[in-house]
Amino acid sequence: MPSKIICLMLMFAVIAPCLPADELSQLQEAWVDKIIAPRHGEMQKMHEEISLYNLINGLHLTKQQIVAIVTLAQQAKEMRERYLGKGNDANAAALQQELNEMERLKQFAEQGKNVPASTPKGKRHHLRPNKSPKRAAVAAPPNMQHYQQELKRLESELDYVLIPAQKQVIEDFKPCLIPPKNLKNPVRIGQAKSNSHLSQWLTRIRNSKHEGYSLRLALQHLLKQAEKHQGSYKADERETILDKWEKGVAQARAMSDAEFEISKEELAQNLEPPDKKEKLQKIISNEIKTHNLPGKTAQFLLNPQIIPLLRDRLYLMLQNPNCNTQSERWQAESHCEDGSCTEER
Amino acid sequence: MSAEKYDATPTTPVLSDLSRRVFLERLARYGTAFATVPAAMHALGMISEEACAAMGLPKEVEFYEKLPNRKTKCHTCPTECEREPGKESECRTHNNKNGVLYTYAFNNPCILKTDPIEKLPQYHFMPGTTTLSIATGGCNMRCLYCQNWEQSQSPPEKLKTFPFDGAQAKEMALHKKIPTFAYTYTDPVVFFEYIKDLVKHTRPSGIRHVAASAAFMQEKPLLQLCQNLDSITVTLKGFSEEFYRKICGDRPLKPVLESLVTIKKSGIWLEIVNLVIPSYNDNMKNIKEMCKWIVQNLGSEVPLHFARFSPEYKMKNLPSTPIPTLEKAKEIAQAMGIKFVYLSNVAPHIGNNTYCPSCKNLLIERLAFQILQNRMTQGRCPRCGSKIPGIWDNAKK
Ligand SMILES: [Zn+2]
Repeated sequence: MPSKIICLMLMFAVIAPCLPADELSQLQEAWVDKIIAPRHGEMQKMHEEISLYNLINGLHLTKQQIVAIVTLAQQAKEMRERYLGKGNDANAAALQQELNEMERLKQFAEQGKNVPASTPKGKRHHLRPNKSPKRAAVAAPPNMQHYQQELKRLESELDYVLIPAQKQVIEDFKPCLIPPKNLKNPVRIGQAKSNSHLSQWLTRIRNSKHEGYSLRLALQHLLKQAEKHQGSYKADERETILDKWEKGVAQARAMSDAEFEISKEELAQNLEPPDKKEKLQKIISNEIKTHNLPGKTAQFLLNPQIIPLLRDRLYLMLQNPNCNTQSERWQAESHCEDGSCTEER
Repeated sequence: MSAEKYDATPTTPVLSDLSRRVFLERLARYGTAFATVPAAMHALGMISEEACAAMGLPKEVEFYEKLPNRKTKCHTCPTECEREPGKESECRTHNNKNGVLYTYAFNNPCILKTDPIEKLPQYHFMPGTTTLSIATGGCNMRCLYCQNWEQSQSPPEKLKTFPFDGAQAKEMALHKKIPTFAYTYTDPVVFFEYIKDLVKHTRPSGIRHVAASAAFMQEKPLLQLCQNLDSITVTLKGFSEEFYRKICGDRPLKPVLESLVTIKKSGIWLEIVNLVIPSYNDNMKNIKEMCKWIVQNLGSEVPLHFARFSPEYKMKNLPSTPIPTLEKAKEIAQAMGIKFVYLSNVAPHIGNNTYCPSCKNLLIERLAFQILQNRMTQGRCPRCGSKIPGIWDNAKK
């Protein structure tokens, strides 16, 4: 950690308790501006990189596919720079226009009034997750439509590069730091362990002694956990879910051990609370399809950030024809006594 | 290698850990499971062996011989365990009680779950359907890479089990509209008597039965098993005596090859899976020999799956199988004339798909066990009309 940061941290720890409240809040703001904010972008970039690595690992790309994707991603990158360069002036004006519009919406929100029906539907794109106002504004210039068409064209070229099963994996992919089991490590033939989290908790709660009020409390706790991942629910939605869960637990308890064992996955699936984030994702992907906009394949594989990652992967595969990842290479080499691990078999 | 070396400690809750109070509570709650309660009560020391035996439980093993001095010799698998009274067989499911050999696997599964049939793997048998997978504790193999060792290396009475008899099985299958039962995860050879009973109860309702096995079994029981099954996936673990000796607990390869021929002759649907383990059985010359043997003895239409190894159990120090190794093995098998060669445990990969051997048309597209599209029409290639071997009608018999 750089010494400046350590000094600031120490200063904060030592001085903070002796300062009056307003000075303390000023110091906190400085802390956020100087240290947290710049690193936030760094973290976001790293999150994106890890996510892309997880996707690459799950796709099992061949060397030829990597070469083709890098070529297309490079074209997409150049095109993006070209368009953004051209559109900068337009973007600045568009950004101002967007800000004005948001100011107007803010007033409605502050006053608790409904937004007039006349508000253009196009304003909906503010609701897209991870979309900063700045990036949303960039979508506004007139040449943006052309840019999206071009990106869509490059994406359709990827159709010839990927097999349908790989496209399915991309379609199902959710950016993640820790890859889900079915991506990097699909459930293997003949492997017994594959119970979902939901069926595991259902088993636990079925076998627990929770009844009545105590059961409701336990379920409330579980719902809180679920909301962390799936977005929060309104009070009435919450009650509906809890009622459904209570019935589910009663149903599970009425079953014999054997029947529960066979039915638990299905039962758990039926009890799954609606995933709000996923619902929103579906709405967005439907919009994308209806308007023929670039989809998830472009989002991930034509992302400029993927280029160095894929180049590294290709270099590794060319060095050792029997390995797809660095860890495979290390493991193969640690078990190889005669150098045969680097020979084509 | 001695069996003692592979003593695995079960991590799942053991039956004997249950207090009597909990046990009695469960007994009251699951009255329907009465058929196996005596076995559990016996395991808890609550009723005598004699009373338990009088109720028909645990079940007497079908293929064994009584020797002098109340010793027994099992004839289910080629291990032929000779046991003195009170001693357990290698498979951990059989036990000599006073000169009679009993199986503790009967009606006593530790795994009951629904799975896609493709997970066995079975790619040419009722594709896209769901099966009820059943397994009991114990196994007659000692594979160092076993992914289900917690179940396979424990006797049934040391595992959490779910009493499930033939009558319940029939009711469940009809209620849940399950078209097949799959005996998998641990080797069905060790719960052969249980399978026969489940088949007896459910076959009249049209339920079909499949198994995944190492086929390390004696001919007589194997023939009976085949009569009870509609389809089987045999794990041909390697193609050398040395591999079976070193990795599978000192078992010989020869009986497995004989079993494969017996199964093929029996007429039930057969698929073979070969787990490719880096530096142990990934020698391409050896793979070529195996493919040659398959073509010569079983024909070119038996689907062959090359499965990717993942570090498990006592082979955690090895890397996963490199995908290029699996691709090379597939190429060799195809060059040797095997018409349907698949790659398992790697997805997405074109090796998951079924192609027409005549016109190379894509017939079934898969993402691991999931079917993305099935273009076959009544078991034929829609382009050239070639008949594709397998059981394609997904309805009950
Ligand atoms: Zn054809």
